[in-house]
Amino acid sequence: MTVVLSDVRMLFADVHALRIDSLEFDAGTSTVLVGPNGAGKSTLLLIVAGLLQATTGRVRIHGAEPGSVQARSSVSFAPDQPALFDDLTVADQLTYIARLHDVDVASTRSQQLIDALDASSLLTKFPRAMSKGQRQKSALIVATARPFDVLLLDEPTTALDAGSRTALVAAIESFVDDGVSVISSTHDDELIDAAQLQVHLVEGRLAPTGDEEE
Amino acid sequence: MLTPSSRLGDDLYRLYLACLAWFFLPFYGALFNEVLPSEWSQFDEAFDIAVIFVCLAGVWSGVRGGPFMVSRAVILHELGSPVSRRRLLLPWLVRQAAAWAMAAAVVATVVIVLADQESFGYRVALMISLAAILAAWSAVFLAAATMVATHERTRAYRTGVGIAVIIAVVVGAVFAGVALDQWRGIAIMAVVAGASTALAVEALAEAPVEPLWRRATAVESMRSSLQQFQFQRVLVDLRNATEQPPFSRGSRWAWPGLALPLWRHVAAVQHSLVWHGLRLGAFTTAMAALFWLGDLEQGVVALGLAGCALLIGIEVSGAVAATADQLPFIVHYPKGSGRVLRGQVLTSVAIAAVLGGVVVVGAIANQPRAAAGIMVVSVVGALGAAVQARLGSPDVAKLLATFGPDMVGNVLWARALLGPLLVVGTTVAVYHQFLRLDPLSGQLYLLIGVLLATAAVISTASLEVALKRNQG
Repeated sequence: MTVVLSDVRMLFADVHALRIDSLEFDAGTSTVLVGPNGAGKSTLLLIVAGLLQATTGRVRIHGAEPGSVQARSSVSFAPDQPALFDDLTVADQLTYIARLHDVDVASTRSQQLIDALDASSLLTKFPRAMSKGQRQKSALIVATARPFDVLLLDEPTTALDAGSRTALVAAIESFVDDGVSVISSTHDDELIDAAQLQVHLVEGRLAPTGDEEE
Repeated sequence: MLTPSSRLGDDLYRLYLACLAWFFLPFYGALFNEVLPSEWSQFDEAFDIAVIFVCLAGVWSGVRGGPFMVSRAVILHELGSPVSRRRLLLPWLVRQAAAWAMAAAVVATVVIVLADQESFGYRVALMISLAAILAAWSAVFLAAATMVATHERTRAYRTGVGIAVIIAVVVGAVFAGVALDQWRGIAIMAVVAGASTALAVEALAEAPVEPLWRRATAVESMRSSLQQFQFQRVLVDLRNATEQPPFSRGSRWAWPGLALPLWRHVAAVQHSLVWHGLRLGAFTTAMAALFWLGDLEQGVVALGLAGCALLIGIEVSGAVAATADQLPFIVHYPKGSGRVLRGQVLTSVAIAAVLGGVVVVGAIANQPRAAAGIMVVSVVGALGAAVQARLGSPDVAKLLATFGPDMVGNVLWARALLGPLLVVGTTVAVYHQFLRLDPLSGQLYLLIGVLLATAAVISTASLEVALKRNQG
């Protein structure tokens, strides 16, 4: 298993944001996290990304802790609010991030996503000059400008137009074919229908309906 | 961020800041040599206690999330990469420590002088500056180490013990009667600073990102609230950013829009050439009038000159910025064009060179020359700050990445205004005993007031007109 969670609890003050006894994500699968607002979807992604530390429990990515050098080498995350360098063009961001991972940007999957989202015109733009949808596209492209075999996407389609949503779903499928484990949180039916697995969360717990694996 | 195009300017700017921190401030204090008596005795114990509090403040800051204020992009992409977090965070921390050390030296010197001007002298200035620099440096690195210790379980014990030992050494030295502003105490503080640095450097390898991520998220929320003038929300976000629980948003916290007019006056706008010429003329006339009518050894005259120089610098550098395709206050660094980068570096070097020259001259010359040198520093500093505010600098680029251009534009104004005025204020307070109300003619006060008020009205009138037109 690529990502394994066991007995994970996340407390914000007195509120249980997440209570997962066991959950695993395979390589080469596309999984969507679904559930109402506040169900813990984003919290789960943040924990796997290493940006939040679970209050208790065990999370492993290829056997390593989230945030460890090994996990950082394999996990890429696109949060719901795009995290872009305001003072770099998208092209500069791609080059810079690829360099941080000691790879050439041409060897990453970013070009594939640029073509799929028809986003080549964004490359010379600064984030502050973009619309919300363009920022989201850019954030998704930037997330692929590095090697990864776990891709975490938090609400990746909220600001995208219909055509871009379809293109993103197709791109995700091709990532999965390459052996990537893609985990998305979403309310988008198109993304949900295309996913191989669904994990339902309600009030931080796995819900007993759907195709979730527990 | 580490990009090839930024490295030269970044390094030079750090060097410039380091020169300011380590050489300028102690010698700035030294310029007052023999102006005032060199005996002092009353405040050394208070200073020692203050050093303890500074170190504890570092620990306190670390518990609340430490000294790091980085953007979500930096956290996600830089700290989320396999590159060593120590390598990524250490340069940022060193720069932060240098800035705090500089500020601490100024504050310590000013406070001691204002508290006991009669007993101030060259040696005291130098020693206090050194001790304050070491204390602030230690505090920043202690904050970083504490942040790791309190947020990363595997480091809690080892790093926590190190922090406790360092604090114990400082407290023990003070209670053992070692004066921290004497050579023996400074040696101890140097060891403390070294140990704090080593502890933080070692701990940063395992730096946790959760507190940084939470803070960055709160800051972005604050930025959004600020742009919408939701000041209540800004306060809540500010509290969140420092990891304090949000307080009630009840009506008693309602913030009337008192800051709005000021905010509008300092907003970045492009003015027409006519207004540009008028402002330039007004400030130049004001400066000439001050030279002609004022006594240059009076602090209040220096204050007026520095203010005029600042405004002229902003006007002049606006043209340079336009030539370099820079929107006002928007920095394209580190993408930056070579012209902008050269502008940053040359400005920094020029300021550093002038400061260095004045310090050397002041240190070897007699006091009247030193006093003139201090005033030159003030005026040149104001001009340089204005130019930098327009052209940007590496630390501004960092601010920009964190807060965005709109907010940074206002921050730059504040920095450009406050920086040189602090220097001038120090000069005024210390050398000219301005706070003791030296006899100055009422007419001179009136003239300065009228000139500055006129300059302010002229400089903001076009903005007011534009705003009203837009509102209409």
